[in-house]
Amino acid sequence: MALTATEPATDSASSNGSQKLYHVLEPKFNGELPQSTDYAKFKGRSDAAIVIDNGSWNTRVGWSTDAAPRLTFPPICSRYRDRKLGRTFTLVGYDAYADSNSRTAAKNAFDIDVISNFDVMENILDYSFLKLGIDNENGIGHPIVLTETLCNPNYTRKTMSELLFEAYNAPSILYGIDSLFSYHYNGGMTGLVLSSSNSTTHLIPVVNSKGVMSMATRLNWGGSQAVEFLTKLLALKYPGFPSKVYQPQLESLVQEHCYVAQEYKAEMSGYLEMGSLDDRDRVIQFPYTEIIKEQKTEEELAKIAERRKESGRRLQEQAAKMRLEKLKKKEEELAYYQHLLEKGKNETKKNYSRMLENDGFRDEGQLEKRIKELEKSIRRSRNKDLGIEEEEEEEVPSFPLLDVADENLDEDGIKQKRAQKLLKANYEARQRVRAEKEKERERLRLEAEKEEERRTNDLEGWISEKRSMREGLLAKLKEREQKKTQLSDRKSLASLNRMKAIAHLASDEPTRKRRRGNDEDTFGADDDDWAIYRDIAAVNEEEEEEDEEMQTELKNLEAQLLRHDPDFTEESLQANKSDWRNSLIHAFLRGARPFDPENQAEANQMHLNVERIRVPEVIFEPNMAGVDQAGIVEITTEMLLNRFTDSKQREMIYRDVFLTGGYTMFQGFEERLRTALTSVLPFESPLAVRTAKDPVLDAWKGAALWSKTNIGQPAWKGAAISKAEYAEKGSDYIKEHNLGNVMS
Amino acid sequence: MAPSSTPTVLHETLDITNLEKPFKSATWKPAARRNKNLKQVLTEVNRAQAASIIASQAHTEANTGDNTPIPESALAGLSARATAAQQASALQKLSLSVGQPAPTYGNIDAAPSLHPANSGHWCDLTGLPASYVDPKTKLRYTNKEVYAVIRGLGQGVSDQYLAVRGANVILK
Repeated sequence: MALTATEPATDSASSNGSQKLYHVLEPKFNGELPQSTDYAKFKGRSDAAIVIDNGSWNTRVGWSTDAAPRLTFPPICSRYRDRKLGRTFTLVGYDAYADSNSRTAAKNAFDIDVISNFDVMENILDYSFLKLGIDNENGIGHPIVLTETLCNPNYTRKTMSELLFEAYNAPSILYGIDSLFSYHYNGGMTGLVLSSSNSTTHLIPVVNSKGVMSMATRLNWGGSQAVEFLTKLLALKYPGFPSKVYQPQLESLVQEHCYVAQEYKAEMSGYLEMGSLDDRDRVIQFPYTEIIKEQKTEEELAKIAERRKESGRRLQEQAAKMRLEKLKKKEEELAYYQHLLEKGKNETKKNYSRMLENDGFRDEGQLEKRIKELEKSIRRSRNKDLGIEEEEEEEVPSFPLLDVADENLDEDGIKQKRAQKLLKANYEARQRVRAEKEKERERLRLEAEKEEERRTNDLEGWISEKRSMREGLLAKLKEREQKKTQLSDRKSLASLNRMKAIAHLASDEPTRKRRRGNDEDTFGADDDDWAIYRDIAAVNEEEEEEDEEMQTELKNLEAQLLRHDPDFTEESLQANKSDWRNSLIHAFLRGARPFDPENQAEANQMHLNVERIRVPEVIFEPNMAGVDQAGIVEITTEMLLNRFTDSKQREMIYRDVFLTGGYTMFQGFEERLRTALTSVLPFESPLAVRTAKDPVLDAWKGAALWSKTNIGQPAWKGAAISKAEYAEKGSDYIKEHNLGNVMS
Repeated sequence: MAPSSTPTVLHETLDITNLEKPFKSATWKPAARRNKNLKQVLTEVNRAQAASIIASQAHTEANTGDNTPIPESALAGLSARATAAQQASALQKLSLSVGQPAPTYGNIDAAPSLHPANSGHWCDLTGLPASYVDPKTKLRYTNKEVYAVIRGLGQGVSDQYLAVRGANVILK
């Protein structure tokens, strides 16, 4: 009920356009594992065995009389020295995750599925026994039941026995295979045990409760390899992903989002189809820090605008004031000079020239010129203040001396004549430029008019013309692009041609065929010859400029078309660019929604889509991940049909294909295996596939069940190694039993 | 308490270095160099097996002539010196005489697939069914859009893609 109540909420979220986000958590330390306080119940009881499911994913420890293991923790140990305190810490299991120091120092006891680091193993055992509360002197005083991998190498078992018997003085040890214990717990007698766990997948046929070891097979694929596979895929899918991705996060991604496809090829083919991608695409949000852009209220914005206007006005006022002052100054100056001129008329020539000299003028002409200039500038600024746009009329200067012959001039006159000549040339040049500009303006106006006319009269023709122009430009740009990519390939024709041209230019004797008798080098006679240098340049700046020009031209054309062509819309613009709606790569990377790289949240998202079925699929097709082995279906059929000669037994085995181990917990695993096996086994084979009640814990439970029922019985004696036997027969010694490995 | 010292305090409560372990033998000393990775363990297993077979053959087939007899005095140090060829021939003989060797960690590996139909061709980038192979990078791809991406891949990235399915060429 609670579930249905929450469903509408998620529905509305999806209709609003936001997709459900899945978050990853920082690897966290959950606190200390509780210590058992009830050891008094078990003290001194030799019928209470300590059962340890020694797996590479988790170590599970408990009493054989318990229903479930008491301790579950990863088989890791972190031993590191704190320099400040000068002491060494030993942290086992989850405790190793307590902080980043201890996390980086953590070591795993396992190499794939075999114990390789016995220092870690010893710490794990210490930790387990401490947590069980064992306080016996001189040995733990309880039999030990330990799971091991299929065909555990002798060296590993030997070292383990040495450790348990000599360091912990165990009275007896029973070794067994985890998956067979699980099968035993689930009441299996004859069948095929398919155990797919953290580091490997094992297939062991069982006949009359005894594992047929000669047919046992291992596929080197399990959960840890799947996590590694996903890690590689994601690293390639999102190179330069901004957040750090931790191993536990990847593990949780595999566990939570991956499932086994029923029809892999069919499902995969349609996986990235846009319409329904939202249902399959899982968005994983990684933690990120939002770069906060200050959001201003309407009021604030208005205030800011007002302030800006105000300051602009003030500036304008200031400028006007300054202009006014300048104008005043100029007017004063003008009045003074005019006064000077007036005064000069009444004064003697000598006095007048002295007065002029005092004010820095050489003669009256200069003064008059100055007055004229001042008048002009005053008029101009007045007009500006009043807002009158006055077309400045350059008065045609007169060059009177030019018409006078040199003979009639003195030296000074000749100088002035030369100056006037220059002035005249300048003036004429200016005039010419102005005329040209006018002409150009007129031409453009006419052109625009003509086009306007053409557009109004013959819209269709205009449109088709513009469209073809646009297409031509696009094609040209594309060609350029293609050439560029071709040049990046050393073996392409374009590259070869370029190298040829370079070699030809560099050689002293051009091999060009020359006509007889015409032996001179004519390079450069034709201007096009120089184009060769442009062609061989690796990075062509000119071309890049041209590209840019073409781009702007294209933009202009598109703007025109947008304005006037009724059929030309934003969409037809996008059709040319990559539209994410049609992009498979976009679907793969960013799901069924547009992606905004500026959005920090979206930049820190990963989309799991094809990976959800691609990762677990490897167990059916190991080649996908570079494992050169047959998949589980092929192994099973090969084993059952070709290697099992007894057809009666074979049929019995069909009836009970038993799945255990964490990998079999992927949704759809059992179903898929059933259909796959049905299709390859003989017609109407009585096939039955089932999964363990608890694929993860049943190995421990089976080991506990077996030891609880058999301890003290002959069966126990026939399977477990006692301390006396160890002392007598050596550390290599094992006893073969139904659920254990065989001597090798 | 200063926040920086909290982890240490936590570690002190979690630490098992100095805890009393009465159940543990006081005289126990682990053997030197007991930690071996899987590869080391397996090579040793192979060597020991081959040595024992050669030794047994030296007893029974000393005069068959297809194998140079090994003096018994040399057998003690044989495990270290047995050549790869000797080991191989010994293992071969074993499988011929016994029919099926006992299962060991090394020989229970599943065989490569015999059905080429079982391994499909999948796009190296997107995982979709792929019908094409880029002759330059040898990457499989599903359509021209993916191909465009492949052409734009940086140096060495295509090798990383190939490495995912173990198809990259490793130069030694």
